[in-house]
Amino acid sequence: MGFKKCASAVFAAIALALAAAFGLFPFFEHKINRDYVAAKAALSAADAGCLDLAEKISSGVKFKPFLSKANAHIALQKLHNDGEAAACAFIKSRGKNFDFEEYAARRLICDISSEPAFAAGLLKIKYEGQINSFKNPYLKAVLFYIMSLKAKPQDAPDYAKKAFGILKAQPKTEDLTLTCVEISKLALEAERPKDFFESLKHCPRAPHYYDALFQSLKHKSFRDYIWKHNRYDWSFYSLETRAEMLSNKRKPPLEIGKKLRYALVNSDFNGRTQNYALFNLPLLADIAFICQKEDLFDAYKNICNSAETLKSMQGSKFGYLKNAAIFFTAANDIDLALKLAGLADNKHQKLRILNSIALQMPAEKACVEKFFEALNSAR
Amino acid sequence: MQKLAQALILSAVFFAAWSTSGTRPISGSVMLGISALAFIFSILNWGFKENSKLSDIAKNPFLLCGGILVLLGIIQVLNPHTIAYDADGYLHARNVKFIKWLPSGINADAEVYGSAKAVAELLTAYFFASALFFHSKNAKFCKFLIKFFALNIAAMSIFAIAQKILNAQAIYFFFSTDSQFYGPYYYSNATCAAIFLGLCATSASFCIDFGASKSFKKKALSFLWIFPAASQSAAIFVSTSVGAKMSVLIFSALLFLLGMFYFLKNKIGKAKTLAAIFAIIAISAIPAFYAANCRYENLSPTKKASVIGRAELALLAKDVFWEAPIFGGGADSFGYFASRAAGKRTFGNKFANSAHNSILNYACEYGAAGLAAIFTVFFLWAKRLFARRKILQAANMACLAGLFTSTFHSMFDIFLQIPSTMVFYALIMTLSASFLKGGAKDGL
Repeated sequence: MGFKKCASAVFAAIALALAAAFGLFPFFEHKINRDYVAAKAALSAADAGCLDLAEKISSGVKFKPFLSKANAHIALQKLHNDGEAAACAFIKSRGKNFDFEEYAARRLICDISSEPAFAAGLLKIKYEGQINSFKNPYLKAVLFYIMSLKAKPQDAPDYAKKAFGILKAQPKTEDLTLTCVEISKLALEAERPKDFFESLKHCPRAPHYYDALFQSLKHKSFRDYIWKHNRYDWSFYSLETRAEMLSNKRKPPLEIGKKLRYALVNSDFNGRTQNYALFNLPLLADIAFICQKEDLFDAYKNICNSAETLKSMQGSKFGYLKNAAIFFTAANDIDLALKLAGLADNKHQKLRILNSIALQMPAEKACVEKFFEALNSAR
Repeated sequence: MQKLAQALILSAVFFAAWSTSGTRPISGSVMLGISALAFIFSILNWGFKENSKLSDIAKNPFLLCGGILVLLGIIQVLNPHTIAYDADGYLHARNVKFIKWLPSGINADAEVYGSAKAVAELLTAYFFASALFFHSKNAKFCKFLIKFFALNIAAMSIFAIAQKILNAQAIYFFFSTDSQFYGPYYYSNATCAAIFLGLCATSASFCIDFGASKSFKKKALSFLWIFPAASQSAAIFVSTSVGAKMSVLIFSALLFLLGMFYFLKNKIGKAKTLAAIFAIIAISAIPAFYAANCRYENLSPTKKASVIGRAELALLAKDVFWEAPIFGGGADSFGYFASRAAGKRTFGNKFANSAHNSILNYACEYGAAGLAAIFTVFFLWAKRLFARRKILQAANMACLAGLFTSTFHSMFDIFLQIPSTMVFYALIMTLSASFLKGGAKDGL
């Protein structure tokens, strides 16, 4: 065979190999996105006390940032359940995939949380030096906020201010989002609406912001706070819409009725179709959820179980499924939420819905187990 | 084998027109597979044919220099500096360890902006362009190809108009989507960029048919190409793509000047004709500037923001380029670097996946090395064009005018990062330097 023939055969073979490698690449397992959701969920499993499950999942995950964090949480649970020796053995077995700073900070959070309230002077002496020694600003912010919850009323604003000051100075990354959500949850549990909204103010991601806000609306004190403070009236709307309103391009509607209609037209549920009649009931169900009206809850449930309705959703099916899954997770109906995730058109969308469920999922063993079962089927 | 390769090239054009632009996994993989097969059979046909020469490889402007760009992309895929992921509707990126002196890119799943996906798209255009150039001397095939392309795009234009009238967002009225659809593509800008290239092919097809026969009847029949051209122009003008509308106007002006040149050069001489053309350009430049300025003032705030955003992105691209000037930040990495460089300077503070300027974008993603490879491709193409200058027809000139306009348009848009429009751009580029008169010939 001549040189020309050899050259053409070599070119053809290379082309075939490249086409196979790059053409088939999209059909491989969605490994990075799946690992990301799995590692985050391993974190939830550890926090829920499902250590076997958390360990099992974390051993199959290669996504280092969250895996190291999840391992730190597992070690902390082991420390509480089985003592120092078990935790040390676990840390040793994880090798490089262990976030020591996270572990130390979480230990400190437990220590501060177990202190009696209003022990300001003691807190300052015992913990402030330790907190300042942390390099990770996000952990520092959480620690300062925990201090504010334990401090005397006159000192609390200073610690909260420190925490929010740190948040303000950080770049708008995922770490900042997760820290804002964590602090907002702490504020929610402590029933501190002002701190709750202050922490969310720094949250760069609209879905997290919206989810956290949605959770807060279940509490009367937060609902009252929202309606009393005009600047939070826009919280029904996406961050983009709010930004547009702030730049005076669009005026926010004044009456409540108009507000709801506005929310219907601009919410994620209807996408660009502007046909809000189709999505009227789901949104009403969301509002009903806030108002605790069970009949509308059932109406929403019926829609989610109707194949005919889902078919008519056209391009907004994914957004609808995701929002409905968040809604049912928050309402403790994890089975229906996972079922909705299973109705997604492709694996990537299913993962995104599962991720949303993971954010809202209660830290209970039964829920976590069901979730991992669904996650494994998303491979 | 030659017939099979040509059939595959035609199939690649068909799929590029109708398979949702190739930016999504399934359609992208099908397009890559067909282009790769077209390349494989074309190169095997060259290798196993008696009268082909080894120098043909060097004469193919895309094969070796385009290969360098692809190689750069492959190394970027194998040596990622960032891992990107999205499972919550937002893109996240974290740095990982990598070999610093090698080209490096972004590791991500197929649904996320990453180097593997971008290199797969580049490979589609590379295989297609390299394969097609092997047949550029086969006038019979090239003429058929250009007409096939023009008619496909005309059908696509009619479909786009119908979709607009019926306000049907589902893909082919059937598959639901939440993306903005215009015709078979996801973005009206991409659709219109493809339709514009189709309009160039329609003009070239008219030139071929008009010049092919001396009989009045056949010349009159060539005017039937007005119908595809009308549907293509209508699809562009009912769309929201300002760039494509401007391209049509510039292309029409170029065709007018070209026609004037051919008409007057034999009557008043070349020098006087060129002087007249330059005079027309100079005189029309001032009113054109004022018309453009007036048009800008009347644009909606969204369109104005789009224009300003593009200028801001061009400035941002300078910062992104200096992050990795030699080998670039990696295919499809612009958005990640832009977010790091100045997150708030992009469109409405959203993730801007491209510099909206092809040269700047390729410079940022493949560095000076990639840009050198691209310019060498253009240099080799220009060399082939010059070598074949005596056989160039009016149809070639129409393709050339279209290529010039499309390149200008790509300075403000992203269609040279979309597989379908990349394939069409390579098609017009190759056909501008191809034999479009006579029958089938082999070699380069």
